[in-house]
Amino acid sequence: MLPDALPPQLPQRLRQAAAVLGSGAMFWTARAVAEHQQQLDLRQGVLQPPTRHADVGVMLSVATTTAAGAGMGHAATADLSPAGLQAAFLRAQALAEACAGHMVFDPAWARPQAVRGHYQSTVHTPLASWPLDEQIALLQDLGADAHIDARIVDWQASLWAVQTTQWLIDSEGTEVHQQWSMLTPAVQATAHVGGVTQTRSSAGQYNGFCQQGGVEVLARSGVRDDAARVAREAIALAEAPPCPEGVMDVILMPDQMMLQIHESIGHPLELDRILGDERNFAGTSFVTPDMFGHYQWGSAVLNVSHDPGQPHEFASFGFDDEAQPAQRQRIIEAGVLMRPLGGALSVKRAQAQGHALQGVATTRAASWNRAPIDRMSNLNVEPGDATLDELIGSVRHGVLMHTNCSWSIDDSRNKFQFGCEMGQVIRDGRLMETVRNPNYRGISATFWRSLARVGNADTWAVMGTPYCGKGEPSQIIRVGHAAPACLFTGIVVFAGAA
Amino acid sequence: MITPGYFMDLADAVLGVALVAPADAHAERISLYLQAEHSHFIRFNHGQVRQATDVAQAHLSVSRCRDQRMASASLSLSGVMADDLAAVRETLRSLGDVLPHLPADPHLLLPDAVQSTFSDDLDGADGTPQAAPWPDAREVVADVHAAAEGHDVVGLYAAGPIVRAFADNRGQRNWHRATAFALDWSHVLHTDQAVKAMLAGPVQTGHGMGHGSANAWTAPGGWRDQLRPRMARAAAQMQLLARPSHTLPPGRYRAWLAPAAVAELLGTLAWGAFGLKEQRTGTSPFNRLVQGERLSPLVTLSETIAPGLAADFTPQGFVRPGHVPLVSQGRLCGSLVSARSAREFGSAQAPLQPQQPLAPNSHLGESPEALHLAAGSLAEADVLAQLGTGLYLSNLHYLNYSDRLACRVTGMTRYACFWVDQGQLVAPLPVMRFDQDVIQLLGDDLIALGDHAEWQPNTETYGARNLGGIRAPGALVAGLNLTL
Repeated sequence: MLPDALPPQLPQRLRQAAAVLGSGAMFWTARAVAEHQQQLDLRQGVLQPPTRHADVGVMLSVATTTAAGAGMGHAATADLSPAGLQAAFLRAQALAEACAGHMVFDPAWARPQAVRGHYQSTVHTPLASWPLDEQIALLQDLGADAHIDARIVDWQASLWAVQTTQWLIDSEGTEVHQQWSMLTPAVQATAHVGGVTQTRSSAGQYNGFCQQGGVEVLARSGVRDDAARVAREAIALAEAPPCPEGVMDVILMPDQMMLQIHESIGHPLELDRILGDERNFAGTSFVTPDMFGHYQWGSAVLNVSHDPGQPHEFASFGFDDEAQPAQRQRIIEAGVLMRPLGGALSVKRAQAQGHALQGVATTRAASWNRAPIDRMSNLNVEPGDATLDELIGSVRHGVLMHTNCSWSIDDSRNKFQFGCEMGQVIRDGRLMETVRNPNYRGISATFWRSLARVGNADTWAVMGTPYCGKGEPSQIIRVGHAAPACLFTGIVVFAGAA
Repeated sequence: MITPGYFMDLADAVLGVALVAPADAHAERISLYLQAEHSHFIRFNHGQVRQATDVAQAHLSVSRCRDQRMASASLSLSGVMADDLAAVRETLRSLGDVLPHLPADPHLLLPDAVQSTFSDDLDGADGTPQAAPWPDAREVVADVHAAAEGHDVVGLYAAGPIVRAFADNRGQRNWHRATAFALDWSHVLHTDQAVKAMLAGPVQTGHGMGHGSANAWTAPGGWRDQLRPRMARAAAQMQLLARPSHTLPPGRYRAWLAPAAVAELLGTLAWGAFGLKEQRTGTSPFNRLVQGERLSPLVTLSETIAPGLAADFTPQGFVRPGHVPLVSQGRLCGSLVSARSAREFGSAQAPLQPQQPLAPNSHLGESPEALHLAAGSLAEADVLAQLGTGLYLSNLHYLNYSDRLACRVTGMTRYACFWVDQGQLVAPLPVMRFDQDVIQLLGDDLIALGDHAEWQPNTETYGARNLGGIRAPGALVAGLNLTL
């Protein structure tokens, strides 16, 4: 059991405070969050000042009816005293009344149903039991291992531990309690050789290896033994020629597949984007509601699932922030688009527009200070049947790419350009020389149809990102992506500036 | 909302009255840094409200430093003094437990001089608020809905006070509160064809809005009066987007980048180009400038916080200069320097400032908060004629380095972008990808800069609202490389 950082009397206190709303309120919901983080960073052998964060607060949502119509408002506060909760309930109600009659959806659609449940990350060795001295010693070891010679001009290692507790409480009787434990280890090295500088990392410069669990996440990451490999590859990249250019086959390893899935499957399938909520910021989507159930998104070997129950994956949960129970669902099946990433409210909005689609429970908020919206959670490409050797053996001319370092895509999530830290040329079925700055570009609507073969479970890895951004006001949220190595044919490949 | 009085009382209670002598290098140093806001967020879609949220948040970072070792911890404040004091004292105690486990930090640098500052646009002379910190939400919702006139308007209204404050046990106290609003919206014609617009400024009168009313939204000539014509102008611009689009093959095109597009480009450079650490470790996108290459003599860049909303002190308590030259007539002339870099890279080894000790002028990330590209001479009325035939790009989107060390950037065109033929706007463009050496774009390929640098407030709201922004003119360039 993880330590609970929210007062045990909070559910009762919320219900008592909600009495201040009076009879005008249709219903209310509360989402209380307590998050504790510790960040340790070591750069060039020097431990940076450690930082800890303790963030506790609650988001209250109130739906109300007035003569002008129905409205819904939200208010966030860190004051969990009875008086503080009452004041926040009234602020939410005031905003609900201000919006009454001008809502883009009927607030009645957001009325919750009573749900009770509990979720907890699987933890073998709690993070709280890990002595600080050992954590610092680990980072110092990683730093020493990464500095293999003078060609390494900068090197870093980090540990980011997060423990979160959340309560969902509402006027209809819901009580959902969830606790997460997460660890993100990382190491990277920058090499300079003959005027060329290159950076290599253990799993991406933006924390691609991030999982739920305790200290045992370290063993799954392999980071303890990885620093020297990272440094060697940084030097190899600085000595390597630029990536070849042209149209060729590409094998994407899981630490690039995660980005490919995220940008060109996940974001365009968010139902709130499709409904237009994001058009002023993150963008729209080339996907329209009538595509679900028949649109050929990719080749027949593509199967994509929303899987919030995947052990250890970063965004596993028992319930989303609308208190809907987590359920694994096929998003794309044999290449055919099945359902969007949309929670209960978004699905009702779409259905009200005449679209008979089904979503998934994936409405989430970044923290207590933001209201929930449709998010990716664990969005995974399922493994196929090819070994990595078979994937490589089937390529006459191509590049195998490791580890995302650059990403850009248009606001409809269609025209993309992605870059990786390291490439390896494949010639006549054999893995050959290392190349630097591998980039490729394509169009989401056609790219996945060029998926020729999918790696088997041995090539499959559980990755993720702590930094998925969208929403107004904006929210950074944790997302999981698990994928095998995948072979794509006929891709436009190029290098950066040679 | 955390008030100046609340913060000062909390600081006095936590830090005590027995102040540390600044010259005593062995004394323990304790500091507090507050980031707080009380915001109204109203999100619109189709001219109606999607979400309306009231957020009161205050995060206090507590740092404890002894024997060249420092540890920090942040916590959310409730606004209840007894609870907050207990939490801060417990945090201080836990940091004391951490310090003995830490190795000495050779790059730790703390302020020497005690420099207290106070800036507040909300409190009156007697310390009481002059007016409500927001326009009335009911009026904002109704006014936006009415001004949209049935058009498909989507966007975000954000308003309220933003606070940055610092205190330490040497007696330094810094307080900065700016109360502003921004309505950032798009008029959407269809799919990805839209016009982007913004209305932003102070919430209260007396800041360029005229005196006599407490509310800049409803004051005569205030934001409400400006909203309807601004939305009408955006709606009129949509008519151009209704024309059949002009399809372009990939290639190199002469282009006008409007101020918002230039700000987007500069915002990408802010990601690593101006920081001393990146410049010294060879990982800066401006490496070529460090090695002597130059941008166009038309380019003069600085971090200029004085006219903006950003606070003039760092989280470590260093008071920042209002103006930091970064590029002067194309030549790299300065860097953003955090306290750690100031110590790590030292004064004598600094080629950019060889004769001067480095003084911290930035926060830890060394990214600008108020970047300013000086205006040029091209009048707005002459832009289309000088462009002749090429691209008129209102906005760019989702930029990222495709080769960071080569300062090569890829990204998309977005919103109202047009094909221009012989000085006439002819047709809208479909979204296009570019991949561009930015040093070349702002170097040999830069033909002219517009004669007016527009202020683009930072409207990002990840976790919290932002202070600052980018001030930039438009740019006429000889060649932008479209790739897809």
